[in-house]
This record gives sequence, structure tokens and C-alpha cells, in this order.
Amino acid sequence: MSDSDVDAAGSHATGDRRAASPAPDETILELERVSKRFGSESAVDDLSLSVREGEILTLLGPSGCGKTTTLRLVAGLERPDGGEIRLEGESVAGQGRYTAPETRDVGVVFQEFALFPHLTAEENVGFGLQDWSAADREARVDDLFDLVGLEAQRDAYPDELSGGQQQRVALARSLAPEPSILLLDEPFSNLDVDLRVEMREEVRRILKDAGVTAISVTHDQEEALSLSDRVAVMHEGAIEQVGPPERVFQEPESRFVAGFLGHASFLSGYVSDDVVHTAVGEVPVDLINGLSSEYEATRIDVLVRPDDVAARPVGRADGHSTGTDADGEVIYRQYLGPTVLYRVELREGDVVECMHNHTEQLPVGAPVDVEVTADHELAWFPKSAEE
Amino acid sequence: MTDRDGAHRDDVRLPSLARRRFLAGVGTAGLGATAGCLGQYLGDDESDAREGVELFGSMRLPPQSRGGTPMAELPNLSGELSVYSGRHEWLVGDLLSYIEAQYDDFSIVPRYESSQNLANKILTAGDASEADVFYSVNAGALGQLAKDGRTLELADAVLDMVPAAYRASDGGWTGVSGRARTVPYNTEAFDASEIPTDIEAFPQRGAFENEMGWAPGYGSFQAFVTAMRVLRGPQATKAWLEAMLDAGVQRWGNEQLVAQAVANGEISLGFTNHYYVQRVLANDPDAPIATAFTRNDAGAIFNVAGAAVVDTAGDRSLAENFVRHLLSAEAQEYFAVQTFEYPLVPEVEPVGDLPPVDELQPPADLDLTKLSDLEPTLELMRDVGITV
Amino acid sequence: MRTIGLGDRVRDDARPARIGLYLASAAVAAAVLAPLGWLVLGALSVPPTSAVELLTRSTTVQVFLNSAVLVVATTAACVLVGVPLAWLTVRTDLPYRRAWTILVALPLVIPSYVGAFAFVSAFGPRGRLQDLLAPLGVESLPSIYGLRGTVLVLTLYTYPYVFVTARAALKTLDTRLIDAARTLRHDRKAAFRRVVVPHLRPAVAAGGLLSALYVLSDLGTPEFMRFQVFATVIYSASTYSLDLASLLSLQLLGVTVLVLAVESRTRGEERLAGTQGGSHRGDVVRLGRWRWVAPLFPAAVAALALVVPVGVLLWWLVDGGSGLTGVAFDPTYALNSVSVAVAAAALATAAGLPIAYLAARRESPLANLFERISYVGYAVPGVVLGLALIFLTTRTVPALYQTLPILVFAYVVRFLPQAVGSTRASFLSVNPRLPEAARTLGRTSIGAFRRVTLPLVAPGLLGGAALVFLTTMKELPATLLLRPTGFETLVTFLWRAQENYAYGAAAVPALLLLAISAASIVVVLRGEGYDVG
Repeated sequence: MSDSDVDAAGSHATGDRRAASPAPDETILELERVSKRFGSESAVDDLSLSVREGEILTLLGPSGCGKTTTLRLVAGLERPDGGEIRLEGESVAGQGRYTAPETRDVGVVFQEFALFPHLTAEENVGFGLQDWSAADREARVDDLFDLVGLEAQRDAYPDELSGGQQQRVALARSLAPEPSILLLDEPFSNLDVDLRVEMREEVRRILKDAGVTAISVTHDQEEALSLSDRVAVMHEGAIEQVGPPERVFQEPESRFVAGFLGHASFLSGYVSDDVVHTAVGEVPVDLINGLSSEYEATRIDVLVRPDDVAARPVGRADGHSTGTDADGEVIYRQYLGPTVLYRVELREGDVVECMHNHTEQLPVGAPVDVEVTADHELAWFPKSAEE
Repeated sequence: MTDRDGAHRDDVRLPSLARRRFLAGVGTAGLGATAGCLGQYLGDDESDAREGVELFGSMRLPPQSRGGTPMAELPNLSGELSVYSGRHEWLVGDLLSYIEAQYDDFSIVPRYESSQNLANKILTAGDASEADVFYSVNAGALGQLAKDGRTLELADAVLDMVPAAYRASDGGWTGVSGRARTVPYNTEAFDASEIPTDIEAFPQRGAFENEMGWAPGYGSFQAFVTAMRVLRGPQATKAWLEAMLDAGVQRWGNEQLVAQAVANGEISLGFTNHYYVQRVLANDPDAPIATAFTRNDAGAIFNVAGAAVVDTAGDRSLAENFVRHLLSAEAQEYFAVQTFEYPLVPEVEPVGDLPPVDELQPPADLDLTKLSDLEPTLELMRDVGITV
Repeated sequence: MRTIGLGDRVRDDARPARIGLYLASAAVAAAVLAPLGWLVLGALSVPPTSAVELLTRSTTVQVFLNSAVLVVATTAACVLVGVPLAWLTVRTDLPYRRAWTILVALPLVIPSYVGAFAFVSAFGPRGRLQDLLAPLGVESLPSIYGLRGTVLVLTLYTYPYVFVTARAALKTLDTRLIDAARTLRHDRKAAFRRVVVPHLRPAVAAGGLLSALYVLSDLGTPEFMRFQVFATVIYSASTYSLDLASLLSLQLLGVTVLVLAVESRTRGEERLAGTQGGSHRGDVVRLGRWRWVAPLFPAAVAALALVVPVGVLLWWLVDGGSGLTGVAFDPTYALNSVSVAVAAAALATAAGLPIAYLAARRESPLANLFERISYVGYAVPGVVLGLALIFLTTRTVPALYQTLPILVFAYVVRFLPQAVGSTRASFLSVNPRLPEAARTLGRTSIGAFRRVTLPLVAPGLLGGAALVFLTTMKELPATLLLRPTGFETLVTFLWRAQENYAYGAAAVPALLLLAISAASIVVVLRGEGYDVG
């Protein structure tokens, strides 16, 4: 991912709240040391999280990491085995208390929308408003259809709507009763790929216009980075890092986070004087984010993304002769249309990925030199750090 | 439930065990049911010495002491005889086989169908009919044939065996066995003297309210109502039916169940053919049920199954002698003991406590053939609100 | 996901075979309709004035009301019993769910008249229970006869239809819809009402229809329970008043059509699930402290429906008492039952083949019409069909009246829909590429059918045949009306035993009937892969 993309995602309408966690009076949802087991398996393990009012937070992680379970715990569709959940200051789960979903002020947009097949779009949207007066309900439904832009489909049944339209109806429906928090479970995974990008913008706009706090769950890092104010990366039932998208992307706090967001390659290096000696040359210590002097004379791994490095051809490949001082060899090549991704195996064994413009063509097997071209600080991890 | 002829659907089937006994020598008590039952009766010293029970025990009583003319004293039968039987095969098949087995070169070619069908067949076939003997379950079909002149007058020797009331006055047919309408009653609720002998009295007695049962869908019951209609007229019959309904009479699907209900104490009185009571007693000799009769009215009608020689009979005397065999001691005994019908030969006693046939008082001057005219009776019953 | 089936149009150049199929189907359809045609003719031959009079009599109206009340009450009771049981076994954490599921569906094995028989024997005025309770001073039990008893027995033996269909619907329910409703301010009860009930409605309607049709057609139960309904009156009137019988038959057919129409309306519009995910069985309702009380419900139902009849039958078996004279069981009755049922199963399967094949290929409206016609026998009560065939034979070919061929024909007409349904489903599951491949390898279309399609559909055919076998074994009214004189089957013997109060004699044939019934149900369910989970 290029920096410019991240910047675009970073310029949010509500301004730049870069703090990693909200101030106490802004917190609308708090999970404290929540855990949940299914049988002998631990789905959520000692998880703590605070969500501030009005923000869009995404739980990002691979399947099985416990993000959907966390969502269901917040919604009240599961009960935690340990810890506490507080909504607007009041405890809704844990410590022996449990508030049923129907009385929690939480809305949910399900992964496959779960629209009621026997009701029209309008009836679906009005479903949660059965305690309102008819006039109020009608007004609210009008507002919502306006918000999501689906006036024309009010009388249609769900099986008559396209995927994007269904999603809007699902959104409208869950927003109708004015919940404090809206939970979205993989909201875009059910849509065609080209629709996703468009809907991401749409949904973000709707959420911001409605001013509602939202927690989204996804395994798609592009979606997480573009949709949210903050991203919480989850792994094996716990949160590894939470923060604004740029921070999580550029300053990953663990190898897992680094690898999960975007391609990650690790260059082994040796810190000596003001330089990190790597297989592809020397990288000044200034370029490494936060490398303090106590790591002098240690081995570290530098995180490089494919756009941080470039591969330069060395001589011609004829027969089996390679330049003796080539950094490495192209072992894999993937043509992606506008770009080409190369995987280069370095002499010392590290493998780095390089992203190039499509006009450059390097064949597999070509000896190449690798150059660090990043103009921003690079993240790093101590060699002894585990994945 | 009725069979096609409106007569009782005979439910007795004679299994091979009893058949052998029958063939061996008669006077037989083969209940037709499991031998275990029989043992139960035979071995029971406590059972009261009702004639019926003794009868069942008296397997070895020779025919002569039972009354009637044994087959040995009747003329021999030889040749082939076509018998059209309106009675079911499992009722009379064994009897026919027995008769057949008595003679070396005699064979019967039976045809089993409803009496009405067979009568129609004989009539439509005319001279070409192959039937020699017509054995009908009720008098109606016999009367029909006789009226059309398709029967031959039977010899006096045959006719004399049976009381005049139970054969055609012109000798065209003779009854062979009969069934009497009776009033079974529960002996723990009433005793014999409390049962009226006039059918009209039943709906009037307060003590009988909600204690009576009938089976209006049943053929013999409908014949009884028909008799009332013929004897007393439709108005009186309608009044009687309405009065019975007002008295809370309960309805069953067939008369066997009515008899059983009386024995169970569900009701105290019923209106059934006589043999249903006997069968209840055969099953349980201690059952508190006994048979009462009315006199000289529709409640006492006596309908007969009978035989006639068809005018197209090949060998007339063979046919006639066959009919005589149906009136033999063995055959009459068979009817008495196997099917619990009334033997029409007065010398042969019916089972149980039943009075012999010549002591019954059925209504006089009732043409039995009229009892088959059901449609007006059904109309009457429906008018009154009985579903038929 | 679209199942590949014979619905895909396949270009076929075998015209003669196609025409042959159509002719065969037409012949079967005509054969199915013929008896009804004769019935209508028979009814029309009644002079209009007497017809009106017969139909408007208070007795006829009473019978109509009885039947109507019986159907409504029984169907309602079946829903009240079947749906909660289905919910308990699918959606909750009831202990031993699988065992309960099997137990609760088991009453299908017991013909309702056997149940009626047993109930009268057990709970009647001089029944077993009375005998047991007499020493305790219980004078008399509430009457088992009449409407109450009939509804009880019929409900016990037809609720499994609703149970099975409701279960199937609950299993396809996307539980995320319930979750969604709960996040929209609906508690579980409200969610059930607004989300689950609409989903269940078509299935419950289908199950209720099966139950209602069974009730309208049943002869044995109302007869044994002494309750006058269409079937009992038609049956008894068939012996002495064909006019009344035929008119009432038409009336009964009218009621049947009405029931079908009501079911059609109740089913509502079947909207396929809008969510693409299909079914999702997520959370299970926790019964909490009800967990050990809840099983009492299925236990009570199973006890009444299963334990009472089997217990009573075993008691008769052990306690002896053959009832009245002359009513004894003969093993040939069982042989008769089985042979006639096998014949019916074979013929029904064969007759259903051309219709099912054409219907599966969805070739033309004509093929669909034939299929619809084949379902006629399903809706025509057995007693009406018997009567219709009596008319047909006595007025055209008297030689056939009360003969075995006519009896088997009646079974085929009545149960053809089962064979057609099962066969059609089998054909639909065969990938059309397979016979096509056979054609490219040199087989003619008939050869391809024989060597490829037929072996693949054989299990389904067998399942359908087993179903026809099973229902023929248990059939009562048409058998009583049409059987040749002296031809006794297990079922007619039971009827006779009841008529003669010979309960003891009925034990062996009744148990035999149950055993054969149970065995065939196992075959049928195996074929359909019944999901007990």
C-alpha cells in the first residue's frame, strides 16, 4: 500500500483523533478482561477494549481469531465466561449480570444481512419500532430510507433486491431504533468485489451522518484500514494492537500485526554504530523507527513492505552464471496488472517482496540487487521476538 | 355390520381341528375357537349346570339322543349337485363337505354369492340355469323365486319336518334354520319377570331410560322395523322409534357389540338376534346376561334361512333329498351348535336356555318375504333422525 | 445452488419412446379418473328431489357437522402437539433429543384403528383400566366413546405428520433471523411470533393437510369409537342404500376439496429465504430449570400413543381370552395381506414410472397434468374409492366385482401418488450427463435408461414401493368393500374381531401388522435419509 492511500483514509471528517484509547467520559463501550470458551477451546481470552462515542472501530483478524465471538458478546447473543462488559457505564454482562439482547441498546448488521424474507424492505426497517406510534414509526422509516438512498425499493421483498440494496436495508433496519452502538459483522464479504469499495464509502458516510458508534468486524485489512477511525488487530482471542490505521500499518507492534496488514518481509540486520548491516546494504539507524542505543550490537529484523524495496537487474542471465555479488535471485513473479510483485531470495536466506511498475520485467531466476527505497521510517523487531 | 343380503354377517369360521371332530362324529362341541377355551369350560367344576355348558361338554352324545332324523336314515345321495348358496362358505362350507363325505359318488358344486345376486342369476338365466338347489339366507329371495314359479314343490316328507310357519305355504321352499329377535337383558339389573312381552312397552318404562341399546345399521334390526311397519303401519312404527330415542336408547355398530354391552353392564337391555347372546355366553358362561322374548309382535319375528329345489334341477329327487339332508339331525345340530342358530326341526334343541322353536310366539300372519323390502323402512328411520 | 437434474432440456430424438411414455401416462391417468367418473354418474342417477331431500335431512347434516368438527379439532390438536414437540427436539437443549425424536415419530407405525381398538379395550366401561381401578373405588371412567375419544385417538396417530414437517422447517430456519429480531427489541417470544411462525406456516399447513385427509378417510377409528362420520355412514349405507352412499361420497369429496383449498390459503406465499446463506443452526434455546421437566411432554405423548396399544395387545396375547366363538386367526390372513400389498406396490411403481419420468423432465403442461391427476387418489377417501369401484364393476363388468384384480387396482389408484412422488424425486437427482454419456458410448436411449438411469433411481423406486406396501397393508375401508368373499387379510380380520368383541383373537394379527409396519418404515426412512439429528 502506498502512503498516499493511507493518508486519504486518514483524513476523516471528524478530525484527527489519534489517541490510542479514549478518555473515560467519551467511552461508550468497555470490555474488561472478557473471556469466552466453547468447550475446551478458548475463543476470546482476557480481552480488554474501550470504544469511544462516535467512532468507527474495526476488529481485524483472520478467521477463528475470536472477532465474531466478541461481537456476539457485545450484542448479548453470547454470555461471557469471565470479565465484564459495560455499555454507557452500565454493566450488561459479567459479574453474574446479564442483559438480554432485546433490552441492550445495541444494533447488529449480520454478515448475510438476515433480512426477514416474508416482509418487505419497509416492514423490515420498521421491525424494531413496534413500540413506537404509527406516525413516529413512519417518519423514522422515511428518514432512514432517505439516509440509505433506497426510496424506490420500499415495497420490494428481500429476494428482489440486489446485494448492495440488501445491505442498505439491513443497515437502515438496525439503525432504526436508534441504538447506542451498531455492530457490523463482516458487512462487505457478501458483496461482489467491485461493489465493496463503493459500499465502504457509502456505509462510512451513512454511519457518520447518523452519528452512531460502530464496531465492525472483518478479515479484510483493506476494508479495515479504509473504513475505520481505529483498528484493533486480533489474534487467537486477544487484541494485539489497537490504534488509528496508519499507526497500525506503519508501526506494527508485533510480527503478526505487521504480517497481517499488507505484505511484510523481514530483513535481518546487525546494528553497529549508526548503521544496520543487512544483506542488501546498510540502512541508517535514523531510518529505523525508535531504535534506541541499547540495541547496539544486536541482531534485529527490519520490516520492509514491497513498496519499500526495489530489485535491480544485474548483468544478463545466460546459462547458470550469476553475478557473484548479486544480492539475490528472483524466485517468484506475480503479474497483477498495474504492478508486478517479485519475490527475491537473498544470499543469506531472507526473502523479500518487491512491488514494481508493470513496465519492468524481470524473469524468474534473474540475479538482482535489492535496494531499500523507503522514504519513511521502517519498523523493526528484535531478533529474539516471537511471531 | 350387515353383509349384502341384510342378514347377519356370520362370523363363525370352523377351523380344521373342529372340522375333524365334526367329521368324526357330531354332537360336537367344537367351539371353533382355540382349544384352550374348550378346556376352560370342560374343566370348570364351578360353572353352573346350564344346559348350554353341558352341551358343549357332551361331545360324545350320540345323534339319536339329540333328536331329529340322522343322515343314515335318509336316502343316499349320488351324482353331481349344483348348489347356489347365499350363505357364506365359512358358515356352511363344512356342512356341505360333511354331507358330501358321507357318500362315495356324490359331489357338490357350490357357488357362494349374495342371495339376491344368485336369485337374480337364476331368474335371468331362465331355463339355461344350472342351479339345482338354491340355499338362501333369508326368505325374501326364496319368495321371489317361488313367486316367479322357479321352484318345485317339495315332497311332504320334507315339508313335514318343519313347522308350517317356517316354510312356504305352497311348499315351494322350506326353512332350514332360523334366527329369532330377542331382548337380551342384564340379569343383575333386571330379572325375567320385569321384561315386558310387548315391544310397545319398552320405551314407556321409566326404569329402562338410558339403559337400552340397538344397532340400527344392522340388517336384522332393519328387518325387525320392517316387520313392525308391515304389522302396525308406518305411523305406529315412527312413534315407537321416536319414543325409543326419547328414552335415550344408545347406538352400536352391530348387535354383537350390543349383546356384549349388556353383559358388561354398560346397558341393561338390547335388541338383537338370539345367537349373539349365545356367543357372549359361550365366551363367558358367567356373564350376567339372559334372553327374553316378546310375543306376537315384531319384536319376536323369526326369520329363516331356507332351501328350494330350482325348476331347472337335473336330478329332482337328488336335489330334494339334499334338502332333506339339511334338515337331518346332524345338520340341525350343526346349526344349533356351530352357528348358534335355531334348528327348525323341533326335535333338535337349540343351545343354551333357549326355548325350542315350537314354543316361540312370532307374530302370526307375517309374510317373511316382505321383510326384504327395506327402502321404506330406511326412509322411516331417517325421518325420525336415525342415521342409516 | 441449483441442483442439476433432468429439468434441463435435453435434446432427444427418440420420438417413438416419447410417444409411448405419453400414452402410458395417459392410460394411467384415465384409469385413476375412471372410478370417480362412475361415482359421479352413480350419484347423478339419483332423482334430484330425493337427492336434495337426502342431503338436507337432519341426520345427514349431523354427519356433516360431526365430520367437520372432527377434522378441525383433530388438526388443531395435531398442531398443538406436533409443533411444540418439533421445537423442543430441534431448537432446545432437551436431553436425549435424538431418542425423543424417534419415539415421538414412532406412532406412524401404528394404524389408528389398532390404536382405537386398544383404547376402547383399555379405557372402555369394562376395560382393563376399569378393572384395575375398580378396587380403588373408581366407579366408572369418563366415556372413551364419541367425539372426545375419536379426536384423542386420531390426534395420537396423525400428529407425527405435523411433527415431521415442522421439524424439517425448523431445521431450515436461519437462526440468525432470530438473532436479528432480538437485536431489534424483540424478546424470544416476540421473535418466535414474528419470525419463526411465518417460516413454519407452510410446513405446518402441509402436515396439517396430511392429518386432515387421514381423518376424513379413516373408517376404523370412528367406527370403533361409535362416532358417526361420513366414512362410517357411507360404509354401512353401501350395503343397502347406494343412493345415499353415493351422495354422501360426493359430499365427502367436496369437503376434501375444501380442506385442500384451506391448506393452500394457509400456506401463504412461500418466499424463499432472502439471505443467501441458507440455513444456519446457531444458538440453541436453553431450557434452564425446565430442562428436566420438559421431557415429560414427549414422554406423555409417546406413552399414550405407543405404550397403551402395545401394552394392551401384549396383555391380550398373554391373558388369552379369544373372545367369541369362531373368531380365530389363521396365518393365511397374513399371507393374503402381504401378497396383495406386494402386488399393489409393484403395480403402483410400474404405473408411476412414465408419469414420474415425464414430470421430472418438466417437459410439457400435459406431463404436469398427468402428474396432478395421479395425485387424485391421495385426496379420495378409501371408502369413496371403494364405492366408486363398486359402481364401476357392477354396472360395466360384473364379473370383476369383488375380485382380487379390482382390489389391487383400488390400492394402486389410492397410493399411486406415493410412488410417483418418490420416483420423480429419484429421477430429479440423476445427472442428465450420465445417460448422455452412455449414448455417446453407443447405447440407444432405452438402453441408456436401462443400464444407467434405472440402477441409479432404483433405491428411490424401492423406497416408494415400500411406502405403497406399507400403506396398503394398513388400508381398511376399500379392502372391506372390495375384497372377494372369504378373502381375509390381517386388517379385515381385525375388523371382524372388533365386530365380535373378540379382542383376544386380535392380538396376534395386530402385533404382526405393527411389526411389518415398523419394518417397512425403516426401509422407507433409510431411503429418504431421515435426519434424526
